[in-house]
Amino acid sequence: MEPSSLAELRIPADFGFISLARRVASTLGSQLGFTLEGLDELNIAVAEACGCAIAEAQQAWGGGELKLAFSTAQGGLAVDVEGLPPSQTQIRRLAPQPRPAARDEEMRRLADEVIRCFVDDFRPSIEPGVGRLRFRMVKYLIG
Amino acid sequence: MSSPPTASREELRRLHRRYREADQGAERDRIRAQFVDAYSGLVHYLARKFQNRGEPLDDIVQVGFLGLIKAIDRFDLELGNEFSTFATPTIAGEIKRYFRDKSWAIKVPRRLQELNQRVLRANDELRAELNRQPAVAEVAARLEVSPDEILEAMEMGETQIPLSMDVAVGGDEARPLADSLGDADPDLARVEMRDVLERAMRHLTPRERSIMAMRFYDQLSQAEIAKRLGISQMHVSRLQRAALEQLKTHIPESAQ
Repeated sequence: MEPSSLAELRIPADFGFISLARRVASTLGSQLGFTLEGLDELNIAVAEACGCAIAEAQQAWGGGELKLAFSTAQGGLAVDVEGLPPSQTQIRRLAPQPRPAARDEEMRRLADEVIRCFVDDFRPSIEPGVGRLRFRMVKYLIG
Repeated sequence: MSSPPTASREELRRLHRRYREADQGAERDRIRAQFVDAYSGLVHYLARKFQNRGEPLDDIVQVGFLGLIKAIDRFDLELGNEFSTFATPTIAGEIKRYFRDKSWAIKVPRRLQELNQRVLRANDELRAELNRQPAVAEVAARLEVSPDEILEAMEMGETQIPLSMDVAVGGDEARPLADSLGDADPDLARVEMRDVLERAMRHLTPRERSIMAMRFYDQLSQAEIAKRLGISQMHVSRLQRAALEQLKTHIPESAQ
C-alpha cells in the first residue's frame, strides 16, 4: 500500500512544544485504531525523537523548527521528524543566547535505542553535506 | 536526560568479562551490585519515560532494576553489542509488562477520566471567580498537576473514555449499547470441562480409557461393555470405579 499523507506539523525547536507533537500523534493514532498502549508507546517514541531533533537544532542553529510528517504506512502510522534551520525572520527574532553543549554521542545512541523499543521500524539519518538530522519511525497497528 | 554509566566503557567490559567467569556466589553478587550502581542512570532514564501513569516512579524504577538484572545475566560480551543496547529493550520490556499486568489500558482512562471531570469542575469554579475563562496554566495550578496532564486529560476524555452501557447507539432506531452485546455462550463452560476431562483421561490405562468411553460417550451398559471386552460385568464395574477415582485426582476441585 502506498503511504498516504495524513498531516504535517511544524513546531519551534523548543522542548515546550513536544506535547503538541505527542498530541497530534495520539489523535492520528487513535483515529487509525491504535490501542491505548500502542498510542502510549508511539508517544514515547515521538517525544524522544523530537527531544533529540530539538537538542540538535538548538546546538546547530540556536533554534529553528521541527517538521513532523504523519502518514499511513502498511497498516500503521509513519512519523518523519526533521530539524530545520531558522528562517531569516526567525534569526532576527532569536535573541543571542549561549548554545547548549553538544549532546554526548552515548546519549544520542541511548535515545535511538529507546525509540527502537517503542516503534516497529526506526531509521535515523543525517542529510549528507548539511548535517541535518532526520528520523523515520513506523508503528504498526499489530506490532 | 540522565547520565550514562559513570564507569568507562573499558572498565565495564572488564567487569562483564569477570562476571561471566565468576562462579555463583559472593564474587558474582558483588560484581552484579557494581553493575546495578553503574547502570542506575539508565534505569532511571527509562523509568521516567513511563511516569504519570498512576504508578509511583520509585515502583517503576524497581521494576526497571529487575529488567537490568535479567539483562546482566543474559548479556554475552562476545556478541559485540554494547550492554546498554542489549539492556534497553529488556528493561523497557519489563516495565511494559509491569503496566500490562496492572491492566494499563483500563487504569489510564479511569485516571484521565477522573482528571477530566476535575478539570471541568475547576474550570467552572475559576471562571466564576475570575469572571473570565481561566488559562490552562491556571487550571493546572488549581489542581496541582502539569498543563500537559490537563491537555492529555481533555484529549483522552473525548477519545478514550469507555462508553456507558446505557448510551443510545444505532441512529434512527437507537437502542442502548448493552442491548447490542451478546451474552456469554453457555457452551463455553462445556468446552472448558471437556478439555479438563480429556487431560485427566490421559492418566488412565488404555483399558480404563476404553471402558470410560464406552460407558459415558457411547452410553453402553456395564453388561454390554463386559460382553464387548470378554470380561465379567463385576470386573467392568471395578475398573470403572477405579478409573473414576483416578479421574477425580486429576480434575481440579473447582471443576468437579
